[in-house]
This record gives sequence, C-alpha cells and structure tokens, in this order.
Amino acid sequence: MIRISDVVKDFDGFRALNHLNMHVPKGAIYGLVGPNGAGKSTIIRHITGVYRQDLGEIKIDGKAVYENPEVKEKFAYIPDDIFYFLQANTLDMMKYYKGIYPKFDVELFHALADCFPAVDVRRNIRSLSKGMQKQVAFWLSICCRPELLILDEPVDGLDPVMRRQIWSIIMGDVAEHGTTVLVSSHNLRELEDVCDHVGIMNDGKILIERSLSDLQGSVTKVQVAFDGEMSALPEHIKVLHQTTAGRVHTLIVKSEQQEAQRVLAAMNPILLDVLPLTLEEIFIYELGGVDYAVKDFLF
Amino acid sequence: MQSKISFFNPTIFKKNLTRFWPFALLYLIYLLVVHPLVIYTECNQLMYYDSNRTASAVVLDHFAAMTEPVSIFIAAIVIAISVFSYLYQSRSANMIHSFPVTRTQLFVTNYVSGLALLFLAQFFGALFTNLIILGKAAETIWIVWAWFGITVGETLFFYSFAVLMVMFTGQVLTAGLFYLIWSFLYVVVVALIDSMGSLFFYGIDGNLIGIGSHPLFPLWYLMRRVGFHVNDSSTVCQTQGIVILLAYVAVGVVLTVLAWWIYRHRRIECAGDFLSMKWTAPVFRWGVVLVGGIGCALFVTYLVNDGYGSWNARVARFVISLVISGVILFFASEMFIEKSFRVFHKRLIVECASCVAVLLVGVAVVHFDVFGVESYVPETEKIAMVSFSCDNGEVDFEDAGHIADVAAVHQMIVDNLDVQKKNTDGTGYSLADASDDSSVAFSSYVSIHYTLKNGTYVERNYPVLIRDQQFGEQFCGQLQKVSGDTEGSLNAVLGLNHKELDWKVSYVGLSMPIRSEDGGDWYYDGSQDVTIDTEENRQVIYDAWLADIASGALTPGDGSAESFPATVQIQFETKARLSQIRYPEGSSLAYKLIDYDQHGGGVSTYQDVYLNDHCTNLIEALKQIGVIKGIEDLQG
Repeated sequence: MIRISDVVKDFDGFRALNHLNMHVPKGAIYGLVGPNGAGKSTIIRHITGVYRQDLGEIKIDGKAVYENPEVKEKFAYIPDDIFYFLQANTLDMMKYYKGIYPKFDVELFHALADCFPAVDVRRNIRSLSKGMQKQVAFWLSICCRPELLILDEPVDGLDPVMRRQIWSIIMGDVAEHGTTVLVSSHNLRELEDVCDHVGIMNDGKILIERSLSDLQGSVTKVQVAFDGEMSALPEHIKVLHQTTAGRVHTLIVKSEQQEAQRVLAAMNPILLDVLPLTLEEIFIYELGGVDYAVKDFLF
Repeated sequence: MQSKISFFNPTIFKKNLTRFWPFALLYLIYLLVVHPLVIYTECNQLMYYDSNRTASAVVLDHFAAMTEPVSIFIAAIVIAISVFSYLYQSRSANMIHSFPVTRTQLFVTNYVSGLALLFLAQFFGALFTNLIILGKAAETIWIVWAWFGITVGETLFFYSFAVLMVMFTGQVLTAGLFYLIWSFLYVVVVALIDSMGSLFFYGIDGNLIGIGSHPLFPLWYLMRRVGFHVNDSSTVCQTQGIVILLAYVAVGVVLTVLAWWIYRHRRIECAGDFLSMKWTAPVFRWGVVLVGGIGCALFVTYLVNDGYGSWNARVARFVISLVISGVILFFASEMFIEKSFRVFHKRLIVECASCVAVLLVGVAVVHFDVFGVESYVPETEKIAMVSFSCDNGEVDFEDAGHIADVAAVHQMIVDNLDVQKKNTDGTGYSLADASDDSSVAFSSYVSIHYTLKNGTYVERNYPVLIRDQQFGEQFCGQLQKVSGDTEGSLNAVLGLNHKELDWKVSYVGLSMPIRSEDGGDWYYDGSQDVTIDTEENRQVIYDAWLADIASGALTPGDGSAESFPATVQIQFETKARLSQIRYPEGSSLAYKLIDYDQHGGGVSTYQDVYLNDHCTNLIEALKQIGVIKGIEDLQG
C-alpha cells in the first residue's frame, strides 16, 4: 500500500529523514514506533503529501503522493494535533469534509452518531475535550471511506477509557472494511496488541520492520534447568541473551519455538518451560547493540 | 465534489466566505459611511448653504476628491492574511495540505475568495450609493459604477500584492510588516538617497530625487493619477489615469502568478517562520543592512551633528555609524530569521563582512561623486521651466533665453565647486559671519529648480560665498541679469501667464516691527502698520517695486546694503480660477495662492518686499505718498 524508497529530508542542515525505506503492506496495521525526534511525524507528513521530500520516492498504491489528489482521496489522516476551523461544529466540519473527500459517506456519518453519544454535533468543536475532538476526527475520517488510515500518535494524552474507545473504533473499521492502518507511537506497548506489522525508527531511519508473526516465530524465550552443568547448544540455535539463577537458566534464543524446544528436550533437562515474549523484548534482542537510545524508548 | 482537473474548490470557497464575511462587512460599512452617507448629507445641506450648487455637482465633486487607494490598501492585506491564515500555524497548514486538493486549487480558491469578499463589499457600496443618487442626481449614476470599476482595478493590484507578501512569510505579523515595508520602500529609499545627498554633496539639500508621485509608490501614485477630473464649474467629469490603472492591473496579474509560483514551492514546514523561502534570507539580511544601516547611520550623523563640524568629520561619523549599525542589523535580522540568538557562525560573519565592504564601496562611490551629481547642470534645451531665487528675490522663466541665463549662473557656481565648498564648508554655516568679513565679494543663498521637458525635476540650493573680487563681479553681473528681470519677478509672483489673468493690486501695506524695550529682539504687533488706501498710491508703490527690481536693489550682493526691519506687502487679486495659474514646480507661488472663491472664481496672492537702503524707488514712493518722512522711519 505504501512504499517509501530512500527518502531524504533536511531541515536547515538537520537531516530529519536519512535514506529511509519503508513498506506498509495492503491490509496491514503497521505500527511505526520510535523515540521522540526519530522522524515519525516527519515521515507521516511526507506520506500524507504535506511535505515534499528532498530525495527518494513515496508511493501509495504505486502512485506518488505529493500534489496528487487522486491518491490523497484514498487516505484519511488524523494528526496528533487536530485542526478544526474556529467556531466550527461537527456538522460544519462534516459538510467541509463532504466537499473535500469525494467518497465521504453522509449516511454513514449519521449512522455512526450512536457510536459517539458524548459528542454534541452542534457544539463548537474547539470547546470539546481533547478526547472528544479525537473522536470527532475518527468519526469524520471513517466517513471518508478511506483505504488507508494514517494516525499520528492517535491516543497520546488520552485517558485509558478513551484510549480503549479509540482503538475499538479503529479495529472496528479495519474489521469491517479491511482498511490499511499506519499508526505511529513512541510507545511499543501501545501498539503490541493491535499491530500486525511493526517498524522501528530512529535518527530518521527505519532500523527494522517485520510482521509480528515473523518476529514472534524467530525468537523464543525458555526457562531450563539441568542436574549438572548445561552443555553447549548446537550452532544453529543462537543465544541472544542468557541469565542464570542457581541451576535455572533463562535463555532467549534466535530460533523457532518448536525447534528450540526439541533441541533443549534432547539435553534431558529437569525443567523446560517456554515463556511468553513481549514485543519489546523481541525488538531489544533483535536490535542487539544498534543503539542504546532505542532500548530507552522500548522500556 | 471537485473536478479532478479543477483549479477551484467550491467547498473551500464557501467556507472562506462564511468564515471571513465580518471583514467584508466592516469594509462595506466604511464604504457606506464615506459614500452614500456623505453624499446624502451634502445634498441635504445644499438648500441651506449653497443654493447655486446642484446635487450633480456634489456627486461629481465627491468622487473627484475621493478614490479609494488607502481603504483598499488596508482591506487587501487584512483579507489576504485571513484567507491564507492557515499557512501560519503548522497544525492548520499540515491538515489543509493533507486533504485531496492541490496547492494550485488551494491558492486559486483562497485568492478568489478574498477577491470576492472585497468585490462584494465594493459592489454593495456602489449599489447603495446608486440608490441614494437615484433620487437626487440620477444623471450622475455613471460615476458610481465608474468608481466601482476603478476600485475593482485598484483592488486587483493591492490584493495581489498583499497575497504575494503573505506568501513570503510564515507569520501573520510579518506578512503585514512586509506589505508595509514594500509599499513604502520607495519612499524610504528616496528619503535615504536625499539625506545622503545632503550629507555628501554641495548644493543638494534633501532634494536629489524628491518623494513625489512615482509608480513605485502605488498608494500615492494611484491616488494622484487615477480617478476623476471635474471641471471648475463641477458640470463635466471625466475619468483619468485609466491606462495607468490597467498597467497596475497587469502588474497585479504578474504578482498573482508569482505568488502562485511561490505557494507551489513554499515549504509547509515554514509555518511560524519569519521567511517561507530560504533563498530570500540573504536578500532580507542585505536589504535590512542597506536600508536600515544607512538610515541608522544618517540618524546618528545628524543627531550628533553640532552644526560646526567639518564636512570630513560628518562623513567620518557617517561611515563609523554605518559599519556599526550594519553589523548589528545584519545579525539582528538573522536572529529574526533563525528565531535564535546563536547566529554567529563563520559563514555569516564572512557574509556580514562582505555586506559591510559592499556598503563602504558604495559610500566611496558617493563620496568621490563618480556619477558627477555635484557638477551636473541640465542642458538648456531639456529645460521646460525654471524657478530661481536668491534670498527673497525669486524669478520664474520658461523662455530659452532666460533659462540659459539661469543655467549660466548655475554653471558659474559649479565651476567653482571646490572653492565654494571650502568657503562655505558645503553647508552654508560660514555664511553667518559673511556680512562682517570685508574680504567677501558676494554672499547669498541661491536656489534653482528646473522642470525638465521629460517631466522630472532638478533642484539645487547653494550657499554661495565669493571672496575673489573679479569673480564676484562676474557672478553678480550674471545674477543681476537674472534677478533684475522684472518680467521674471512678475512670473514668480503672479504666474508665468500673469498677463492673461488680469491681476489687480488689491492691498499695499507697510509692516513695521518694534524693537523690544531692552533694545534686543524685534517683535511684531501690528501697531505700526500702515495701509495704503487709494488705488493710485498702491500703483505708485507697485511701480516703485518693479523699478527697484530692475535696479538690482533687491538682488543680494556683497552685503553693503543696510537692511531695514520694515517690509512692504503687496497683495494681488484675480477673478481667474486657481487651475488657470501656471507656475514651475518648486516656485514659492504654489504656497502663496489663496483660492478664495472656488465656484465663482477668485484667487489672491502677495509679495513681501524686504526693504534696504538700496531700494531708492520704494523709499521715495513711500515718502511721496506720505507714509514715511525719511529713511529713519524704516530703521525702527
């Protein structure tokens, strides 16, 4: 759906995007994660056609985005800091979006009113709470019938109830229409439950991007204990991390779960247990020593 | 839904109208006050104050006197900033540009929205005026719509200019600031050049170019050149300056295209930045140093000028001030651009040094008068009219012979530039002691104002102090040839076409100031004034004045004449209209004419004659009619 090739962007001598490559498959929920200042919002503004890259290509469905309304009709963008016209209420904004987005579905707008009971459509949006403003943004965006939803820090600053509500709206739309979602966050935990693809960004680059299944299949965490000393593992099982407490060893190995379990069982352990591995841990051990700053934001 | 090939988005257009209509309403209210309300009030007052005047005359005079550049100038920038205000906040700029519309669509739609708001206000202003006039002077309705047409043209220019300024910055206030700076840049630059001329050149007294009506100062130029001309009886009215207006409209179109190009290439991330286009930063820095640096240096130079410093000392003060203010302004402007105080990078220091070096080279060019400004005397065949004055004796000419005589006086001064600069220090301050200096052959202040045939002006004002006796005699001879010409004096007092105007001497009086009791200053309370009451006696004084002009008594010379505190004032009247009186630009006549009957015709003027002991004809005439007994009555 989105393919970004070798994109460079400089701001007054500061390189915000440094030969960035990224691929968001159609139908995926792609989590873009990175520390503050990594360039997440910058690349999203390029994807939405707001900024023009200095070098490289940004394509959606094979077509360049910048100054291309035909492509821009396909996505709806919800920035971290949403803009509404002064004195506009939800109905005013609906009329505006209707005039801007050719596929805007007015019937859907009215049908979805029940999903947003807290939003007073005749009240000035700027006088609504931040959470309600976000709800209005999602409401309007979903009614644009987008093939791609681009969300920049969508739940940042919201309380847990509101976060849950926002995510349920996103998931509902994805489930119903197969919408592709690109969502950025500086917190991987936020994305763990919803994303099927994750890209980690730092210093204007994508350090790693994988599908969750690939990641989860390639790294395994096991707890194992032996009567005596633990013998060396075969070469194809790479130990990424190991801690020992008495006779109990906790290993994180780069291997599929079944293979790791088979190899360790063959070593006659007195204890063998496969433990759940968080997305954060996977990334930490995958990235190894790439950059200490990356570890910081993960935890 | 917009078309995919459309340059216009109706939704954005409609949104702009519904968001910014209060600005248009305010503008409309202003127009309703200054047009229909004023016309209605004036027409209603006709029956009480001026029964000869018709409602048609009121309407025609109203529009002849009232075009709209100033209100359009203000309304244009307010509306332009409003419709493009989303560019000044990253939140709104990012959101709007993520929508499926092109920048061209956004530009065209917002541009048209702003124009529509202005035009709607102007249209309804014209419509209401039309309705008011309909019942009072229906035959003049055409002028309302002609005014509307002119206003639309001027709006196109000013609005396009305002939009262009809006495109250059990412800040609301800066957009207004740029608009003001560029609108008045011509005035500022001319003022600086004139001030520098005064500082560096002998004879240039703040008038090297002169701030006048110039196309680069559109606000003033349109006000002066475009509108309506009504005849003296307010019965016939014609539009004027339509070609000029069309030229400005064409410029407006070019500015619009330029603004559109900038918008397409503008960095959206510049919202909140001082400049939206990176390449304009050096232009801004150098511009600030050039204009601001010279301005500050001139200000400091004149501020600390004690009046007696040498010419070289003044120039040195200017150069030092220029370097200091140039460096300060260079980095200050960069601080605005960067929004940071950390601007002292090596690259910028080098650029600053280059900028100051260029300024100093420019100062050297001016100092050594590379372009020959000081020694310039216009060729006589290019001169249409000249106004010449030496102290209080003024003459105006438009005939080739007299123009050549004036140019000859000018050439004599220019040929002795070095001596004159040395004698007068280029400023005339040394003249204060000239009357007590026996070595002075001639001292006076000579002003020459040429009106050239191409419509431009050349003005020089020289403090002249001659110590060389032989040259002094030659100069005085040439000066007498010019200043002693009675026809030239009458041209200056009554206009170049005074013979056609039937001027009458309406009043002659002798004013006599009184010395204070301590024998110090003179003061004037009117108690010693004498009015010459018969027409015959007034004619005697008038003839004596002309005779004294011809004798050279009123031409300044070597200071041997004893000046009296008494003055003779001669007043003149004609039934002609003000517009019929012709005089050169720069003539003092412009300030003396009083149009005391604008509708019926009637203009007056006056001449003050400062008496001295060489004015034998006037003194004899005053004795003859019994106003004074002897010369001692004039000595106070």
